[in-house]
This record gives sequence, structure tokens and C-alpha cells, in this order.
Amino acid sequence: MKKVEATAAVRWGEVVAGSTTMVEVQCFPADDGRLTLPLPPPFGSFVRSVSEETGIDIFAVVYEVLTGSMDSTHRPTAMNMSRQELREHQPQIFDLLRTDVSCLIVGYRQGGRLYQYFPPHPPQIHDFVYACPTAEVMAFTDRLDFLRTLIKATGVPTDELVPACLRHAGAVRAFDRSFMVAAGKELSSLLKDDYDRLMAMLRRLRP
Amino acid sequence: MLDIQKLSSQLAEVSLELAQEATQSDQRQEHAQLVYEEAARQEERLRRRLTPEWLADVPWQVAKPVEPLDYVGAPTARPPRYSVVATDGSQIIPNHHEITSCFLINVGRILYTYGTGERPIQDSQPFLHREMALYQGSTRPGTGAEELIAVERFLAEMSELSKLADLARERGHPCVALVDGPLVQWPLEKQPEAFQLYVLDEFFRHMENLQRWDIPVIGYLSNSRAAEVANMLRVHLCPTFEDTCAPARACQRDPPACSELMPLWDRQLWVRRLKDGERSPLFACNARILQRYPWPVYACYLNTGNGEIARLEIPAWVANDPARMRMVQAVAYDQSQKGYGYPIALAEAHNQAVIRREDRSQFFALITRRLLHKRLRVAVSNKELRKRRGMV
Repeated sequence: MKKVEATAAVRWGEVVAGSTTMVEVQCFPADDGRLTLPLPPPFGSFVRSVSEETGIDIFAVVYEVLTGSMDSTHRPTAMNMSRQELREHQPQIFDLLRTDVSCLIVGYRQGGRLYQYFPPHPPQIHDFVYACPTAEVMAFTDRLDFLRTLIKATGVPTDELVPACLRHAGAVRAFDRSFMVAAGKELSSLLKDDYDRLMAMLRRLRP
Repeated sequence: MLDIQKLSSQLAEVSLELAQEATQSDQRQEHAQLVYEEAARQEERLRRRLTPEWLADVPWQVAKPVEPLDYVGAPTARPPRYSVVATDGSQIIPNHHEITSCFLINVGRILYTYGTGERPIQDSQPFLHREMALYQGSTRPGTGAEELIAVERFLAEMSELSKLADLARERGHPCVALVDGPLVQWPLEKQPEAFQLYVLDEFFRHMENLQRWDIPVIGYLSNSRAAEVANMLRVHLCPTFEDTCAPARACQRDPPACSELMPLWDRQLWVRRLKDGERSPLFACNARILQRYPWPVYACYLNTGNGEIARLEIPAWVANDPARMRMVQAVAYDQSQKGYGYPIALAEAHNQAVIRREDRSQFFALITRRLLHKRLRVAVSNKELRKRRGMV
């Protein structure tokens, strides 16, 4: 994956499964033809799927990355070789592995407007998925209503995901104090009944 | 369903027999080893027996050594950069209980380049044929569709191999082409002449491409059941051959003296003689079908370093050139190392070619949909339906 720039969105994968609440994305191989495993967007970062058919851009947060065999025939096996040795002696393995990224849907964009609730239609299979550049992250996290979706999600490592996501949102603002305080306040309101969990998340907010 | 309980007593019996057989086989191998060494010491005498006149009445195919019998080809270094191309095929054969008489050949295609970081090519190419098309070349009635499909599959493999070799050529590194199985197409011997010529013409055309591009090609056989060298030892052992007169017309002994070696596969002769990466001397193959070949085919055995002796079948233009021989020996060995016992390019070509159960059902579902679209009658036989779903 190329370095994420402020304005250009990097296309890194394609939807292989989608539902109302989450989207599974298969990573593309490195586009410069190098023998390497795809580098998925980081945990807690923002991605956007683009549906040509519904005209909806769906925003989601990366919460799980899984690399495994492309098919049922091959099984990843330890080979005791460095990356360079693998490139030298087993160049085929790079294309026989796939990396899938699971993302939690947190909102969408339609007709130029951002919404922080579930989209009317889920992402469609084969929709392209982009890493959100700085400007998009900044625009989307201008409001923090999506935090409720993250915190209420089940089967997801929420206690890690929420702070990781807020660190990404903070990073695009150089960890601006007023944003970080607003995020902390939002969390404390959402977790007013669970002091331990709130503190665990707040401690993880530090960059 | 398999009743394991009823099977278990039979298993015990069979395994006992197998154990006995294994012991006998070990003893035979040791004996064959001694016979081979003896033949090597009396190579001149053996060579006099290995002439067409002498062999005219020998009922089996006999290999003829073209290097000294005691020759051992030391392991050679593989080029720092090289490409390898390989193909393998699989098929869906026509099934009269299925809806249509089509067959499908799927060829797995591999091009790997080592030492340059170039992206591998690994994909598959399906070919759909109508069953009727099979019989056009073959005039022999009653030839099984499966045999004919095997031939079509071989030609499809060769054609894709030649295309891959062309791609490898553009990459500009030394390249070796691996054929899964024999270059000596002995199953064709049963086919009528016209069919043989049709198949061989096309095979030779692809082989000529490889030669023109200087891409050495070998047929790689794992666990080969060839016994041409073993048969050569039988000729060596035969007491009825005389050095100066015509060979005996028929063996008078019962059992013949040479039968003490049998059954014996060639590869068993090399288990102890070859160390990792070493190869046996080259032998000229002698199958009847080779009379139709414009070039001789040679074979040698290679210790792949994983407890296996592989048979390599090699066309004359490669076998007659020491540099090319070193190259194919090194690449065959290196490929087996990379594939932990079997050439990685052939193994992956197979994996690419495999048609899984779901693919098969999908194939028939697609054809059904197309036929319905054309308003053709579609029916699966009652037998097939009952096989798919039982009733209780």
C-alpha cells in the first residue's frame, strides 16, 4: 500500500462480503509487481467503500486482519526462510496467500453529505475500498456519534478498537487538545455506567 | 458404504503378505545391484548383445546405455537466475448419465522465475469440447473416451507449455520446461496409425518450438514403473545368448534364468548408487512408438534428495549436449528441493488444474442453464438422480 496522502484515496482492496453492519475486504497485491504480502490499512483506521450502483460511499473502521491460504489446497507452513530467501526460492507463495480485512460500518456519504448511522444499503460485493486520506478522516470525525456504534458492536475487540480509532482521528489533527477532550467527554458519557472500561479506553488514547 | 469391520481381517492378511513381499523385494534389489555391477564390468559383452539383431526376439523393451554403466553424474549448480515452465491437466469426462456429452480439460499453467523477484504466472486454462469431436481422428471403433481425452489433455498441456515457454523467453533467463509424465507416448501404440500421426505431429510441433527457443525440456516421472534398464540386466543374465551366433529364438528354460530379477523397477537400481542430486548414466529408450519420432528419446534417473529416484525423459537435442544436461539435472533437483520432494512447478501446475467437486457441479449447472436457454431438452438419468439422493 502506498503512503496515505492528504487528498488522494488509495484503493487497496475489494469487498468480498458485506452486510448492514460490517464489510469484508480482500487486499490487492502490491501494484508495483513486487513479491510481497499486501499491507492492509492499520487497525482502527478509516476506510471507504465506493458503490457505483447505489451511489453510496460507506465509511468503516478496520477491526480485524486475517492472512491465510487462497484455497483449500495450500496450507501455510513454516519454511525457515527470510523474506528475501522466500522471494528467491518460493516466489509463488505470495500469490497463493490472501489477506482479508474486516471493517465495522460507522456511516456513509451520499450526495455530498455525511451520515453517522448505518447506510440504507450494505456495500456490494466487488465494490472497491479506499483508505481514507487525512481530509476525509477529519471531515468524518468532525462529529463523534459513530463512537456509540463502535462501543455497542459485538464480537469485536471494542476496548482496543475505540481508542485506536480515536488515535487515528487525533493524528490527523496533530492531537489537537480540544478534539481529544471532546472525544474523552463523549466516551465518558457513553460509558457512564462502566468506570473501569472508560478508564481503560482513556489510558489508550495517548498517542 | 465401506464396512470397516468386515475389512479388518482381510487387512491383516494382506499386510502380512505385503511385509513378506517387501523383504523379498529388498533382497531382489540387493541382488540386482550386484548384477548391475557385474554388467558394468562386462560392458563390452553386454553392448554386443544390445544390437537390433540380437534384440529382435526379446519380448520386452530394453534400454541401451549411451554413457558407461558405472557413470555417476555429479550434482551440478543451478544457474543463479532461471525460469521454469510447467503444465498439468485434469478433466471432466463425458458422463452418459449427465445432461450432456461434453468434456472439459483444465490445464494448470506455471511460470516461475528465480533470483529476479519477477512475478510468477500461475493460473489455469479450461478447454471445452464436444464428445463427438474426440472420435474424428480415431478410426478405431471402441476406443475408450477416457483414453482419447487423456491424449487431448496431453496435447493441451504441451500447447500451453509452449505458450509459457514463449513468455519465459521474453524474460530472458535460462529456462527449463517440465512435462508431467513421459515424453515417450507409448499408450499411443494401441491406436490406429492415422490417430498416432495426428497426435505426434502436434506434439512434435510444440517440442520443436522449445528446441528453437533453446528451452530444454524433460518429462519428469515420479515413482516410475519403467523397467527398461531392468530388462537390460535380463539380457545380460541370459545364458542362451551366444557372443558369436544369432540369439536363441525362444527361451527354453522354465522359469527363465533372467526372471530371478523380476519384478524390478529401474528406479530401484539407483536407490543405493546415487547420492543427493546425482544422476545415472543416460539410456536410449526403446519403445515401439519411438520409431515414429524424428528424434531419439533418452532417460536417466535422478536422486531428488528426498528419498526418491525420479526418471527424467530427455529428447536427443538436450541429452547430446553436456551443458544442457547439466542444466536440466540442476533444475530438476532444485525444483524437487523447493517442492519438498516433487518439483514445485509441477506440483503447483497440478494444484491449478484440479477441478474440485463444487467446480464440477457448477460446470454442469452452467451447461444446463445454457441448454435450457436454447430450449434444448435437459435430463439427468434416473440412475444419476438416485446416486445423488437416497430414500429412506
